[in-house]
Amino acid sequence: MKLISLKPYTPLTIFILVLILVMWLTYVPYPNIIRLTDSDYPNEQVPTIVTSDGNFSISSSFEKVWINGQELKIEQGIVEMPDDFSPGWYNITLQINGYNITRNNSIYVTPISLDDFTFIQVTDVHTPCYSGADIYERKNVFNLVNDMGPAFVVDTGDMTDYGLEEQYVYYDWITSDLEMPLYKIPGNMETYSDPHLERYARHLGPSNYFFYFGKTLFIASAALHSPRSWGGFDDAQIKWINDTLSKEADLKFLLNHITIAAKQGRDYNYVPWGWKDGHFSQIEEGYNEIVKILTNEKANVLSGHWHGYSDKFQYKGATFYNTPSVTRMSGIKEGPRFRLFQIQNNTIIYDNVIIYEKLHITREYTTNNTQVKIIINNQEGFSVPLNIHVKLFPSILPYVTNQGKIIKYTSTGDVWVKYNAPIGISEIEIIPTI
Amino acid sequence: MSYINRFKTLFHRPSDSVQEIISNPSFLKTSTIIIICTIVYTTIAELGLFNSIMPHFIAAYSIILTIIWFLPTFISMVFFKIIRRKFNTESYIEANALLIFSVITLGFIFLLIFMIYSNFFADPKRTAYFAMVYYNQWYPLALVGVIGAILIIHRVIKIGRIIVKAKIYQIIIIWLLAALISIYIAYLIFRGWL
Repeated sequence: MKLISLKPYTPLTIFILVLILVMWLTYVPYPNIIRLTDSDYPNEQVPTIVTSDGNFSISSSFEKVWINGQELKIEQGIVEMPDDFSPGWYNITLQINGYNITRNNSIYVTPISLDDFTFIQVTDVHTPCYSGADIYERKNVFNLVNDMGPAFVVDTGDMTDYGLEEQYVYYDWITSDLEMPLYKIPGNMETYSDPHLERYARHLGPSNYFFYFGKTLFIASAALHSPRSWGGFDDAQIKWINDTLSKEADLKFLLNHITIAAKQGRDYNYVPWGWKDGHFSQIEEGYNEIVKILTNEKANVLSGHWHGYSDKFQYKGATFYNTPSVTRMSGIKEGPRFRLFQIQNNTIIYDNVIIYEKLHITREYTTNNTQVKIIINNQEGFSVPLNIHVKLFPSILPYVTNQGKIIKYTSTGDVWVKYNAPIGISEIEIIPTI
Repeated sequence: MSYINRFKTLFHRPSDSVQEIISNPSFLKTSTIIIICTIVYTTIAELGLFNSIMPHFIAAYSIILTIIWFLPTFISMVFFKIIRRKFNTESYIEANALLIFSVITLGFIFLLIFMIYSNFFADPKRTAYFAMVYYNQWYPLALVGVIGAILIIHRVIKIGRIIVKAKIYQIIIIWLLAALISIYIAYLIFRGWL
């Protein structure tokens, strides 16, 4: 064959080569992996949760600590919280090498017991770039999450639909009324217009960190390959996860967006390299290592990514939860969904998916705001554990309820009632004792 | 006849386009036009689908758009050569490229209308990807896809009859195989890599 006969194919060949070159040059295997050092905790994006008479640990490099201006004693890196701190957010000031650093809203005093608590996993919010009904619906989903009163909320990624600036602004607004901490981790969508996750870090903070709630350890670790929907862990990240997950805890969770293990591969089913030992994984590099760590630690892995798919998959002692999305999905009738966990004495006793449209919580306050009736319409098909917060007129008297149990009240009128809402409509009344 | 004639009959008499390509093949020119169109389509589509333009997605969607016409064309050509049909390779590739890409252009025009509606006139406004994937608005586009597929089948049979002079059953079997292989390769790129 003469070389000249190949001339007609030159533009197409060059075009394909250029496309491959662009793909290669724009590929970011491990986007901006930010890991916090001990002295970075706590901070506004990774706050520490503590009970009013509990304690929390800080880096041994800190010499002094103040919470809202009140100096607290440090003993071997443990800070004891006085019992006069009401539930809510506090600024922390830390002294290191004689210099003071103040971190706003970095301590959250929870009204909820460390031995019996709920938390909610939301995922795939896909905040759009236009204002309107889609944004309001997401805001209402987070309002319901807030009304359910979990100890904290975790968002396992794809909180934006393309990682655009305006989407982060809307996401901030959607989540702005949450009273409790929200821990976040990036998903693949965040890398689409922000391959190095610089915009993500500016808005939402680090992509790898850990926190405790009582004796339960949570590790957030992003395994992303920008701009792909597959992911992986490099050696340094595997080491970090191994070191962090081996910390002392009675129950351990790993938060990650990409599916590490599932029964099936959804629409990825026919990708042969996704199948590993009879299950499906979208983790490429570091798959064997991460599975070994997770199974050794008997960790619970929370991920999203697949929107319509909901499953709990157990593999060699580790449990992999795939939670459906907050965003609606073509062909799925249920609408926004999220998962509610209840942990009692370091055991998961509840892990149901909540359908937003099937649970309604409304509060009817009396005109002088001294009493409240909470109406719960639960059509989920199972009971739902709630910790409902109401704000009544300040009273020096304790409050009582006709249903559930008051777990905390303050002189400012804040009352938290723990209630396991049965199927159907139930009403709770909270009034001060007379 | 001038080169431009092959475009004139693209939609109402594709066999005239094929005859024009046989008499004067010029894949260099045609592929250059297709490449320019591919870049324009993917850039506009990314803007309408996501409200953002990123080079990696322009490249990724360009690869998919190119694979859709090039791979089945190339694979079917190899199969026809294997069964010892004699024909001009350049004419065959150009005819398929032109006729399949004209259907892709029709699909793009429909997508463009949908993107303009979705981004500017719908209530609530949505990017086209958001509307299709999350809000079930892909049915009209799927319908256009079905019409496009029928048009493509009609055209590849015409090309097979005129250029390759193959029997209809040979064309159908070879194109079925070529399409399945190509769809799977496109799937592996779209789902297995991207």
